[in-house]
Amino acid sequence: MKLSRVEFVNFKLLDGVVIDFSTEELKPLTVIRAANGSGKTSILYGLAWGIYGDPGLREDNLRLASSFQKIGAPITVQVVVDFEHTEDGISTSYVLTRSLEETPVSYERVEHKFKKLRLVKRLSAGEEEVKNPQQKLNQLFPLRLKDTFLTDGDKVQSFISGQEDRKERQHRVKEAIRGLLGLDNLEEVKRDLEHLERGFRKDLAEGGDKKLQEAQNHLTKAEIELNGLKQSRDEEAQKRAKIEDSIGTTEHELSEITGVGDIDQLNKEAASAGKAHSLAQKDMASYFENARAMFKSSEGFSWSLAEEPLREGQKVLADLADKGVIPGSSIGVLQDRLDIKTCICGESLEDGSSHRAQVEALIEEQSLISAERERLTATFHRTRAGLNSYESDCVDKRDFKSQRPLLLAQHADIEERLRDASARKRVVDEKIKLIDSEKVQRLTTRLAQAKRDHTESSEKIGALERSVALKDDERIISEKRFEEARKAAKGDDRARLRYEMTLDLKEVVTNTLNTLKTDHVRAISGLMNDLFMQIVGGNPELAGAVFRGVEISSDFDIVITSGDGALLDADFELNGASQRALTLAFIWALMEIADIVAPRLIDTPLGMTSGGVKQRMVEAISSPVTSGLLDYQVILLLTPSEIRDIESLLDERAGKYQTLSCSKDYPAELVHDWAEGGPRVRRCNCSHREYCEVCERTDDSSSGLDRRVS
Amino acid sequence: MAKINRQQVLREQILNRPERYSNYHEDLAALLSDAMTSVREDRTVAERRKSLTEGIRAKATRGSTAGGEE
Repeated sequence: MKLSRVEFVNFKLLDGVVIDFSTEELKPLTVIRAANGSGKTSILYGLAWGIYGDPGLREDNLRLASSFQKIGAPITVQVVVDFEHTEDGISTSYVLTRSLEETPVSYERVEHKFKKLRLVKRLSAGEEEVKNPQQKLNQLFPLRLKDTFLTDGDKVQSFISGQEDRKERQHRVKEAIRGLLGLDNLEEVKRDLEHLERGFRKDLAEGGDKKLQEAQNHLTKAEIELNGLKQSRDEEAQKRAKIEDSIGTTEHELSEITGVGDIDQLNKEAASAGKAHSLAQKDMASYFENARAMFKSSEGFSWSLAEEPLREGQKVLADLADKGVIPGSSIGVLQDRLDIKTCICGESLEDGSSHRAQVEALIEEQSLISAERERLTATFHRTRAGLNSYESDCVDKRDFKSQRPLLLAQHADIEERLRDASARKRVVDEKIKLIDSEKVQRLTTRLAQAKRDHTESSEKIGALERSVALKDDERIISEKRFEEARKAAKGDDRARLRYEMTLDLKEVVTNTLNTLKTDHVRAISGLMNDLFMQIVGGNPELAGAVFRGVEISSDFDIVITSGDGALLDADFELNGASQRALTLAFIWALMEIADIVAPRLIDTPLGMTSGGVKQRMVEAISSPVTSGLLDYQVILLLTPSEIRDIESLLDERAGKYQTLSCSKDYPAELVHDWAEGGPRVRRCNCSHREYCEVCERTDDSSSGLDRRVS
Repeated sequence: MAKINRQQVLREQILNRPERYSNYHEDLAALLSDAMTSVREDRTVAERRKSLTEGIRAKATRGSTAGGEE
């Protein structure tokens, strides 16, 4: 089936929003452009609810209308989906209308009333109401295939990776394959036919001879016993699966604790951190001691502080020396002159002469200032010697200024070691606190018991398998005997034909199931590999290729092989773009091989992709339907950044395009204010290359988009 | 491309069965189609089996009276 149109009434912020989908074979792609928060995911959920009702959403009674709806005010929510379904070459149009009345009773809770579902078939003669609409919808859109039809891009990798564990992923892959190949329905029919076979065989035997009756009794007994054994085996297998789950959970819990760290190891780490801390503390003490000694033992620190004023003083003293003020020597000369009683000028300095009195006064005056000169002279010499020594230290980098950065670096280094050691110790101490040793003990005991139970269960299953095989041999022999007896016996032709017809039907269904489970799973695997390699641009023949290929294993796991033959872990060794590529390749291959025409709607499929991968991904998932290809429909909900660089491809492939905008983005991102009342989403007909009064964003005119002329 | 067409696989398997009377293969196809529809329509096991039993009885009666066994 293909979607033609959907209309949302009061679904989230979508009120009166209509989306038209392309149903063209040559342009199977519908592009819905919407920035984040503009209704893309609401479209996905709205369609899921419209088609499946509550089971389409993650839980019942979710708020469907806008969260701005007032408490106590009821509102009608409605989704109308127009779609076409083709069966045996005949295309039929349907209109599905699902509605309810929603009343918010608190900020967290809503009440739903008046739930209605209507499905109308549009015929040339008029409309015809489908009597059991949900049943019909379940046939057309099986619920378990919801994630294949309507895919959330952010969860798209769940088939191959993500939070789910390996078993869950295998289950999802298996379910998707079984669902799309219709294996469950065929197996159900097979069980019905086996039941009928026993009934018709009994009828046949009752109309035959004693030998036939005995053979029938033996065969029925063997079958009953075989079924009993199979049931016991299956029950035991289920029990073992539960044990395996329990082992997995326990191991996970233990690994979480192990993730914190093994207690012995943690204690060792704590001791090591403590030792490192003590050592750093010791080094710090030693550093301070050295620094103190350095301050004490030399004048370096004083020199570094006093150098400038000392040099200025030295300059003044040098000036005084140049002028002969220091050192002072005039007193000795004058005393000599007094002793010889003749002045330098030749005047007599006889006792009692006035000239002698003047010289004696001069000597007294000079003696008063000579102490000062001596001190200055001594200071001059000491300072000069000190400065010379300091300059020599500077040349040898032994001065305080040179030593200071080294001391600071040494101090910073020790401080960092102290901080590191403290932090390490704190982390380890926190981890140690987290470890509940009793819990570890409990989990270890539980794990050991579970492993013993697992071994015991495996042994039981092995024994039951052997019993099943033996009993099956017995059944085959009984069946052969019954067949021989049946052929030899004369009896009711109708009874014989009923029996043979049932056997033929069972054979047809069994062989079909085997073919689907083997050949076609291989075909899906092969096509998935082709598509994946096409998208990621891998060529397995090239040396150094990243991927050699991907395949679905016999236990329904998607296995990725690297260029050098190693198996890659989808979670850790595959980037986001490759994960998306692989999942889309799986979905596309599955639907293609299963020959199912169904919408493939994907919300943000190109997140985490860019460049060639993005281009090739869109090329691969939107190819025109040509002869030999399955007719299909693909709807991509894209953000403007996902659209970037693939505009030309979208021009070529998109049959319909529209843009969604949300009024809450005005004025930060939207240019025009068109909302009335609360926030709402509006659709316009702009393509990925256009903007208009509704969708124009602040950077549109500068980003190469054209104004749409309506 | 090895596309799956389940109907095609079923048809091939039906044709592999012996033609027990004239139009036998068509009868098998019709019975299987009904059986599959019953499953798809979520009918109860008892209903499905009753319907299938009646279908086989009716067709076998017609086939045996037609006398077209090979």
